[in-house]
Amino acid sequence: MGANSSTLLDDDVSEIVASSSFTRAEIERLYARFQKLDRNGSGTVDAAEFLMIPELAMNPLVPRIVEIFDGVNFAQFVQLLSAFGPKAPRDAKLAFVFRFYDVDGDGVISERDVMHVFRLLVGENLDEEALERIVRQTIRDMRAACGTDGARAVEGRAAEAEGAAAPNRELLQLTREEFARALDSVDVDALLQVSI
Amino acid sequence: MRAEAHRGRGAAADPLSRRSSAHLQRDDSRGDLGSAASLTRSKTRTAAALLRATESLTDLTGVVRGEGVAAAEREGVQERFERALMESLLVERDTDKALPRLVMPLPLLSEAVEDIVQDDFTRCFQRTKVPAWNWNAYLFVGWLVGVVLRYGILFPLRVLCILVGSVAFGAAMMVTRLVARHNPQRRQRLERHLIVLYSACWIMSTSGVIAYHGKRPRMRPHAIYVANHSSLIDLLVLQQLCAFATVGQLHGGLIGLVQQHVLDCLGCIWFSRDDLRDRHLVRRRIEQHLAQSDVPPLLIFPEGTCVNNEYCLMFKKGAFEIPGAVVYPVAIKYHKLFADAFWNSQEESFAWHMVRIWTSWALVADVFFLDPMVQGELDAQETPTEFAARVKQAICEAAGLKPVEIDGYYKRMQASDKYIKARRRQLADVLLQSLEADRAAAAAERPAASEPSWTDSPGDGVKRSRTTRF
Repeated sequence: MGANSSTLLDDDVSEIVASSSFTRAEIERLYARFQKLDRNGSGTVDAAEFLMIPELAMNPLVPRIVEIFDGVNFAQFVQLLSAFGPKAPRDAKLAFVFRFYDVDGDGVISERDVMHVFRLLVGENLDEEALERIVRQTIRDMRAACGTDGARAVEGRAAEAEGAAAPNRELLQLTREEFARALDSVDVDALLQVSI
Repeated sequence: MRAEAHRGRGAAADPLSRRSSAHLQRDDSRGDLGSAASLTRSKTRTAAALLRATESLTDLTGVVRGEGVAAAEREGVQERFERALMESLLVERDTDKALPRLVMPLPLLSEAVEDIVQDDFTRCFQRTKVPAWNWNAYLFVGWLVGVVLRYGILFPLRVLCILVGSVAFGAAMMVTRLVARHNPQRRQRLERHLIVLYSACWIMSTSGVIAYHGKRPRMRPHAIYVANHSSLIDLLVLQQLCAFATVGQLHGGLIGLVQQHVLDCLGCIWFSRDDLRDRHLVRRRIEQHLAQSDVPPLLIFPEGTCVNNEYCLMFKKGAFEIPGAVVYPVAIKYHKLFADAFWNSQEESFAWHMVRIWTSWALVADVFFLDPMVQGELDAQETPTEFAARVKQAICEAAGLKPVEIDGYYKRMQASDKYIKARRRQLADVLLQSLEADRAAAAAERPAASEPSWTDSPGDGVKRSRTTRF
C-alpha cells in the first residue's frame, strides 16, 4: 500500500479514492497529515502518536477513539475517516457510530458497551447505579424509537421510575438494524462531518 | 471575552429549568438538531477553548486591556491557562443538550476526528518539506555530486571555519579582558565588536547569503527591535550588523554558559520561562535598559518560541506595553530550498541543528527592517494587544508568513486532567438531567400513579457535583 515509502504511488491513490468518499486532493492532504502523525515513520500511526495531538488528548472520549484508530496504516486511516467525509453515505456514518459503540466487537450494542462509552463521558462523576439506570433507559428509548418494543418502553420507563424495586433485568441490547432504525430521525450527516 | 465568561456563569446558575424545558421540547420533536449541526464547524470546541485560553494568556504580564483593571495575579502560567480553559467550558455548556442520549457523544466523536485530521498547533512546528528540485533520474548524477560536495568538502570546511573562529574569538576576548580590565566601558565596547565579528564568522560558516532591506539597525534610544523567530540563527543574522541586547530564556549547558559569561557585555536580559515572578523583573529591567542611552538596542522575539518560518504565532504583548518605546519590526524569511533554518529545540539539539545547516548548500535569507512603529500613533486608544497585533501584521506581510493566533507556550504546556475532569462533570450533569426530565415525562403520562419517590430527592443515591465555579 506504499505504507513505508514517503510518496504515494498513483495506483494506490486511485485505489484509495475509489474505496472512500474523498477526492484525490483530499486524499493527498490526508496523506500529508498521516505522515505528520506518523512521527517515527513506521507507516502506521499508533496510540501514542495519536495522543501527541494536544487537542485530541483533551477529549473525554480519547481512549475509545484511540482504540479504534490504533495501529492503522494509511489505507485503514482513510477508510475510518471516510465516514466523516462530506459525501459519505448515511450507512457509512451509521456503521462507524455502531462500531464506536460496539466496544467488545460482538456485533450488537449491549448494555456493557454503552456503559463503557458513557463511563468515559462522565468519568467518576456518577456512581455505577446511576450510570446503569441512565444506560438502561437510553437503550430502552432507542428500542422504543425503532418500534421493537414500543409498548414496553413507557412501561419500562414507569418501572424504572418506581426505582430498582421492580427489576427488569433482561440484558438490553441493540442490533445493527435496530440501531439504524432508531437513529432514523436523527440527522447523522450534520453530526458527523469533518472538513478535510 | 471576560463578559462572555460571566454570561457563561450566569447560564450555569439556572441551568435546571432551562435545560429540562429544552429537553421536554426535544421529546416533542426528536428530529430537531439545529444546535447539534452548529457544533460541526471548521473550529472544534477544544480548539476554540485553546484559543480562548490564549486570549486570556495575553493578559499575563499585567494590565488587562480595555477597562484597565489589573488582572488578578495567578501563581503560574499553567494555572492561568487551565482556568481559561475551564471558563471556556462554562460558555459552551448549552451546546450539549437536546440530543437523544445515545447521540450525545457524537459531536465529541466528530470533534476528535477533526482534531485527528488537522490541528493548528502542530502545523506551526512542523518542518516544511521542500521537494528537492534536482531529485530525478536525469539529474541524479548531479545530485550525487552535490551530496559528496556538501558532506565531504563543505561540511569539514565549515566546521574548521567555526573552530578557528571560536578559538580566535576566545583568545581575543581574553586579551580584551586583560588589556582593558581597568576601563570597563572600553572593554564592553571592544567585546561588542568581537561579538559582531564572531556572529559574522558563524554566518560565514553557513555560507550565509543574507539580503538586508531597509534602514540598518544602530544604537538608538528607546528602541526595541522585534522579530519573528525560527532559530537561534536569527540572532546571529541580526547580530552581525549590530550588537543587540536580547531578551530570552536562559538555556542550560554550553549555550547557558555563553549567555551568562560571554554576552554579558551586551546587557542581555535572561529569564526562566516558567517563573512568573521573573516576568515582572524582566519588565522592570527592560524599562531600565531603555532608559540608558549608550547600550545596544533591545531585540525581542515576541513569539516566545521557534516557529517553522511559515506561520507566525501570537505576539506576547510584553514588548509592546512599555511607554515611550519605539518598536522597529524586523521580518526574517529564510529560503528553504537552500537550508531550513527552523530549530525545533524539542526535537534536535543545537549542535545537530547546526550540522543540518552546515550540510546544506547555504543559509539564504531576506531580512527586512521595517519602519518604526509607536503605540497609539494611529489610534490613541490602541491597547498593547492591538499594537502587538499591528506589528505582527506588518512582519507577516513583509516576510510572507501566515498569521496564527495561538500561543507558543502551548508547545511546552500540557493540558492537564483538570480540563477533562470538568468536562466530564458537565456531561454527567447533562445525562442526569435528561434522565430526570424523562422521568418527569413518564410521570406526566401516568397521572394516576402514585408520586414516585425520586421527586423528593432528585439526586437520591447519586453522587453529583455542580460545577458553577472553578
